[in-house]
Amino acid sequence: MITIESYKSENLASNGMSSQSCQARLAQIDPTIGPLLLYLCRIFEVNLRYAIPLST
Amino acid sequence: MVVSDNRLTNHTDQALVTLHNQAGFYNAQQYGLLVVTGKDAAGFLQSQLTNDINELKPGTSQFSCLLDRKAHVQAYFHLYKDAHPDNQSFYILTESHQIPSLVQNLEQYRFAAQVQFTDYSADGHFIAIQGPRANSIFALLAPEVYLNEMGHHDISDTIYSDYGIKIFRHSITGENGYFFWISKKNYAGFSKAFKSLCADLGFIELEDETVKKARIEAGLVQFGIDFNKDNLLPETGLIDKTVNYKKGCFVGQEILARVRSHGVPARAIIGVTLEGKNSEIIELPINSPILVAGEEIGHIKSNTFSPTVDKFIALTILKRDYRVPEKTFSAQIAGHEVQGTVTLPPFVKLQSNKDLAHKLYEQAVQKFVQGSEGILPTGAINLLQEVLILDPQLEDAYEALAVILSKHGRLDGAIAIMKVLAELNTDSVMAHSNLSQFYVQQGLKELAEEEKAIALGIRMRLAAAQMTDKLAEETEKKNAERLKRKEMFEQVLAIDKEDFFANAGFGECLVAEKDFAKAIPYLEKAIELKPIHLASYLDLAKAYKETKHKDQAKEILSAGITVATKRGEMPMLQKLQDEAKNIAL
Repeated sequence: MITIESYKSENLASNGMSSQSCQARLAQIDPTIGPLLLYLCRIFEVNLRYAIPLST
Repeated sequence: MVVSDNRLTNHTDQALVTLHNQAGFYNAQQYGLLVVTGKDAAGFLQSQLTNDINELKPGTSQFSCLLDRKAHVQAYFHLYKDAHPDNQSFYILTESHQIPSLVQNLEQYRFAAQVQFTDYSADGHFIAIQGPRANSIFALLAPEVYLNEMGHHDISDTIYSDYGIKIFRHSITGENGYFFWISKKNYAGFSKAFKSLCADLGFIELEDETVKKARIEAGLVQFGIDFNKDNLLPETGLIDKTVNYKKGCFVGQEILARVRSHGVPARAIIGVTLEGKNSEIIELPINSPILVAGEEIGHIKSNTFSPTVDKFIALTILKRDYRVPEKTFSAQIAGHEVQGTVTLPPFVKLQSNKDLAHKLYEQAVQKFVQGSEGILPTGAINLLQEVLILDPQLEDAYEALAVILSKHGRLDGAIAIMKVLAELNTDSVMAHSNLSQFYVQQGLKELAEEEKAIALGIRMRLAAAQMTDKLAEETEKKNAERLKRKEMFEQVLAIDKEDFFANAGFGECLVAEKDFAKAIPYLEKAIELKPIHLASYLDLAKAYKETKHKDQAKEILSAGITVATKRGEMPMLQKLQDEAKNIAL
């Protein structure tokens, strides 16, 4: 079970990530839509770190 | 534009419908590729071509022309800058027959500049895909290439089944389009695999005739057919697409500027729809003169019957006086007596990506609903991805995608999609509500509550804003109505100063407008004419109070209370008493 603490620490960790790490992570979130997420983040200049949910 | 198939006559027409509604692939073997390299490539091309090379960012493209000194078009092409920032190469995609003379013309002006021109036309082939749904080929061919590169670039490289390919965004039909460049040795293998992918998507093979019809419908001119080296660039209709007047010197620039300052060229390309008077027009020879009462007013260029608009359409080069949209003329062309109507191309309004996205969204939802329980609906997911590429602002598609993923336990993907949406639209209640639900499913109650609160906050803020707008709207409506009534009362009073309704109504309007002093005589008159009219007592008391006549206000309220008591009008009595209390304070 994911806890709120683990979520927050995960979020903190992603805040310190490089853009490249974020991209790699985002692409792995879901194999089907990973590339789409990257695309949307790129065209809208959405902060990739924000889009990363915690890993399960 | 969605094309119905009720007036199709042959295979080409059917293919055209598929092209306009889906996509098709095309062996674009008459197109070639010229690569311009060298450290001086950008500077050299900038000094020769009509468009501004300096505006090209890596991976982007522009249409451009090479002119002679007198501004005649020597070549017309699509120019791409390599996607890699460190690579100064440029790619020219155009009909192969233009390349040798283009190189010859460019070489003529190259002295010390370090530039190399390499014609790759003999080393490979182009295979093209054209149509509103052309993008969907990438889902099968190379999803990451489209999403990482072609989504925002016009040129990219990829490898598919060990075949190295170069992709160019290029339309020859007015629809979405891509050209895939493949070396000769790999062409047969790739072409077979590519056609198989197209078949999976329901894309058909396009013949030359179909592509030609689509090109003319879109009003796209072609070098060597609609214009040639004898035409000045302003005659081609390509100025907006190919010229940057601010870029500085290039070959032919002075003449071009002179023609521009003289206004419109004496002859130029424009569309014409034609109707045969005595016989059906099949196809007119290119360059046939158009004769009106014996006078040559222009020449026929690309022409065809368009099943889409059910008309015979032609690109023509016409004299200035005839280039007036909707102008009609009777003419003789290649032995046909015809009625012509001047039309600004394109002849066919094509379906926008936004419209297509909506249509595909509906299809995706349908697919999802019809899918089997427990099986991930990849068809619906792929469609929704296509929708978001076509229209990344379509919020319903984000939600549909997230809901589908969440229903199949892929909550991280669903959350990520909703987070992107929440970033794009900070007022999206839908994004935060869904996030809240997804967090609940992940057991993250605290986060779920947080998102729920955000959604509620947005909802309340939007409701408050809506209410303010509604109130403002109502006030405006009331003011307009009052103004109308006031004008009416004023007109009655001009005829009859003793009219009760007019006095009471006019006085009431003035009080509402806070013109208290002016209201007093009208309200006094109203009470004089009808002493039982309690609303006038109340309005008059307000008018006295606001004009600092407190005693008179008390007096009139007292009189009103007496009348209301006698008549048993309790609601009005209450109002008069409340007002009396206010004044006493």
